[in-house]
Amino acid sequence: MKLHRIGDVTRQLGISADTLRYYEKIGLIKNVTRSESGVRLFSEKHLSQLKFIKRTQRMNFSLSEIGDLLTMRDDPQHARTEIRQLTRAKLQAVENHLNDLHTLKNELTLLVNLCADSENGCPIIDYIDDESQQAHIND
Amino acid sequence: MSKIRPLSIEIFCAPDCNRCGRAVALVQELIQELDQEILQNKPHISASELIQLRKINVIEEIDYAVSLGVRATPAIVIDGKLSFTSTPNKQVLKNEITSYW
Repeated sequence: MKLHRIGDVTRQLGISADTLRYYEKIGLIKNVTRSESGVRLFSEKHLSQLKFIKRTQRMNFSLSEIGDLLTMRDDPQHARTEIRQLTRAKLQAVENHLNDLHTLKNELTLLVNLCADSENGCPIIDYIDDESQQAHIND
Repeated sequence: MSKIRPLSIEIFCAPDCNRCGRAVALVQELIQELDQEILQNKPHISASELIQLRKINVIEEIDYAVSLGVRATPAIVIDGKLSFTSTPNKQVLKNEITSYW
């Protein structure tokens, strides 16, 4: 089993050493072993959990929720009803977020295409400038 | 043209978009042609009255444009459905419009 020192994890995942130690302290990451000289050693499973934590944090889930989701991730068949419900709710939140992202992607595609099509600069930027100037005039 | 019914045509245009002007002109020209054709068979019906043509500034109605799937201009929406994302040739456009009748 490949083990990773805290510095390797920091470099690989972009999570600070302090944050990794904090996750261990609050029990978000469990069973981090130590080398004979007391250096923390993270397993591949820990790395997978840390990547999951990063993803869920981008969705603004709380650390407490992330802890519950990690429990579900560890043993989905035996998770408590509340954790199953939380997982379902978070799945819905992710789906809503995906829909928002899809709309945003389409909107940005349209804006990029409009700018690319124009011979006289970008009409979007001109329009935004006009709007903000108008707003200043009205202030 | 079995059942001639009112039809909405929306053309999404952007400022400084030369092709958009051509698309609008093409649709207007086609409506006039359809007027003549329909008049021959049904003198009481006028295509220009049946077809509600609306030129839309895509920047002013961007949410509506995105909801219809508009990703570039000109875009032609017929009866609420995105039909063309560029200027089609006149016959193709005519076929599309008359397919609703």
